[in-house]
Amino acid sequence: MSNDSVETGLFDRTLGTGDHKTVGRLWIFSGLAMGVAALVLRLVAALEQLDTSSSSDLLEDVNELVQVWSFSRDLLIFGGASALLVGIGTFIVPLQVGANAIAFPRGAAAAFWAWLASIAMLVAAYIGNGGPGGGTRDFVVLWAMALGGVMASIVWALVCIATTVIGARAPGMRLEMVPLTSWSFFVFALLGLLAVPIQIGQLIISFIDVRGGYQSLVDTTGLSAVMDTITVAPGIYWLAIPVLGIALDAIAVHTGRPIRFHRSAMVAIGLLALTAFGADVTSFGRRTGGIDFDNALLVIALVASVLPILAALALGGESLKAGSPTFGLPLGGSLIAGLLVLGGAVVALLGAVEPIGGFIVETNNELADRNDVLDLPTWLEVNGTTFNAGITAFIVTGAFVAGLAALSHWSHKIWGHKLNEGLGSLALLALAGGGTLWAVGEILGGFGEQVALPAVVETDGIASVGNVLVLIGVAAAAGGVGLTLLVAVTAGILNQGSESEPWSGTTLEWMTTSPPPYSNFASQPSVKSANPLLDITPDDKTEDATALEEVSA
Amino acid sequence: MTDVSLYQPIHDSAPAAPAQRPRLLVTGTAFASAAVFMGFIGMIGLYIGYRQDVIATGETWLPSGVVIPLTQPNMMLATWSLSGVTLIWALLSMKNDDRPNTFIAIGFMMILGFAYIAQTAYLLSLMDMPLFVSGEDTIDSLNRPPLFYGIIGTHIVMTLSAMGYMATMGLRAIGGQYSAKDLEGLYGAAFFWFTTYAAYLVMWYVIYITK
Repeated sequence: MSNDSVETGLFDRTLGTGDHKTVGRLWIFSGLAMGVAALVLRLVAALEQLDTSSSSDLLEDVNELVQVWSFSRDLLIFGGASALLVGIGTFIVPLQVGANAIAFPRGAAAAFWAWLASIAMLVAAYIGNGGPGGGTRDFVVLWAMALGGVMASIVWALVCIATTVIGARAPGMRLEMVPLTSWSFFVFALLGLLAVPIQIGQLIISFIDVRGGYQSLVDTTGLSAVMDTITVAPGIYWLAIPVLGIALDAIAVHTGRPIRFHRSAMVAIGLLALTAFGADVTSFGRRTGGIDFDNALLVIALVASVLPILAALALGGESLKAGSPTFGLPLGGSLIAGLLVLGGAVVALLGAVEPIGGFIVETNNELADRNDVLDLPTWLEVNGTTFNAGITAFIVTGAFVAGLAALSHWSHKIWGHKLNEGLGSLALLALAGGGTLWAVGEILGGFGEQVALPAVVETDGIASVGNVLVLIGVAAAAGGVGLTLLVAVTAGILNQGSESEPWSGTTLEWMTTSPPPYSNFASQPSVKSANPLLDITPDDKTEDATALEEVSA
Repeated sequence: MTDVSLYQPIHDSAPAAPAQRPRLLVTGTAFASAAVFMGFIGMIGLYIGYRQDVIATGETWLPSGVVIPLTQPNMMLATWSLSGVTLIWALLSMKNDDRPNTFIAIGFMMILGFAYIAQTAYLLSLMDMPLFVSGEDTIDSLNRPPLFYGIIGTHIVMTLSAMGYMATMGLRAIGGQYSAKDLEGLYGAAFFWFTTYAAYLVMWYVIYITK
């Protein structure tokens, strides 16, 4: 290996770099580590919720339970899943669009370090008795500031990704030719830019609310509602958007058949973003069974979300049917991730029954009590219960499974090695099985009228069965994310030399060496279609790789 | 296949990086501006929602004793509008490679920016709305001061950011990095400046005019 120009130490290579590949790896490792931490915290909350006789074994009181629960939720979504996805996007998007670097490389690196510092502040806030359920004013204030910092850092990383797709594409690559993973990350970034700052705005208000003394410290559990819009369906579908892109790209490569209707797949991914954004124009937390604009939009968003997911999976299915699928971790993970996301969206339709019922009743008789007229079973009155957490569990698990599939699919690009297939498969099994159990447990809790905020714990009936399932599911999912982290760390440590790639795709990242050099490509690739490697002769690809070897020799 | 170090700086013999597509900074600024604007509009949405809820109960929105005068907000609107003119002055000057005029125009923009912040501070002192409450105080208008201060404070931060961005790009332009052929940095700063102006227009109407 040639590294004779400038000798750099590990410190410089990590802290001082603006290379999107290193920054992407840092996001990936950190996201997985935060995912494990978040699920362990959720496990603690689940254990406490399971304890029906006394609620003081693990945690002191209900406020502590709310703190642990909300910490795990915030950390899982903004520390774990979104960070993992941002890492994959930061690494892969510039390669896929043929860019030499990510847009604003120093900005991308700064986003990561700001995120990490904000995570550290968030941990300090909760340790100091802050956050929802907290009782120390300074640390509740710190919670609002830290969580705002975490989200702002992610938004800044998304700005870099979106700008790369718009401004740094290879010559000839029109927007409609952008590979599906990059397109999905572009849509993911756009939606993040529009939706996440709204949450930051709410946190600013909460910050002043608490700091100014307007928020009583006797009960701060209500502060968790600040995050409701983006942590429940359809807002949480934000995390499902890259899942579709990753799945479709992996399916294309591992069936040997590119997605036939590329533009249709792009439209499907875009439509999912549109419905997810519906969450921000509805007041999801305030919805009731009554007729109003919010509920009408909510129902439309929930119903409409299923269609683009189905469409995207159907397009992938066409490649599966017509191609020659090679089942392994990338393809299996992609399919399972897609199904988990679809499962979440389908289950979410049940949540639309209550608002629709209210709509029908109020249209016919404004004075009637909706449940008397409709005779709606109580298990369908799921709004405000853990039912929504079940949908979130499906989507978040789907994001982690897609992350595992992506890490496996691009493992040679990221680490120069194939991931450990055995451990990876075990991680996939634990994640998929655990995530499903967790989601089903939360949904059962919803049917048993277990309220979303764990301030009140149902101790019998179907809700208690749900609590057991949540406990088992979260434990398995935590094991799955932990195994994924182990697999990633192992591959990262083994980063000496490189193996030849066992598979190859038709998008630009497959044109360069594995792992790619500092500036990604030896020569600027030129693009004529959505599958640029089908447009060039095999010799062209070899020439690029040969040129890189000459450069590095 | 020969391994290439992931962290290796570009070798001297490596081919030069091809030119990026133009307007990368403007594109990035547009995305960042959209994000900032959405955060701001989200807070305005909260404000309108709370105000509607309070008015629906038959109460008045503003706490007793709090008055929002119109003179200062209107003057601030005029200040922002004037800064829009000076911004165009700066851009047109730079398009003609007229650096002295660019310098003067950006200088005026900085003065107008500070003037806006000073007027806001004066307005807040006139409104006399408490930021902090103690345990003995009766909170008869929950969420109002946090909403007021959250929105106005965010806009001041936006203004300071716009001024910093414009000053940096202005200095770079004066230093020779930007010219009539390449105004990207100034366009980016101008985009964010107009975003801040647009945010003020929304705030002026929702908070100061309709109260």
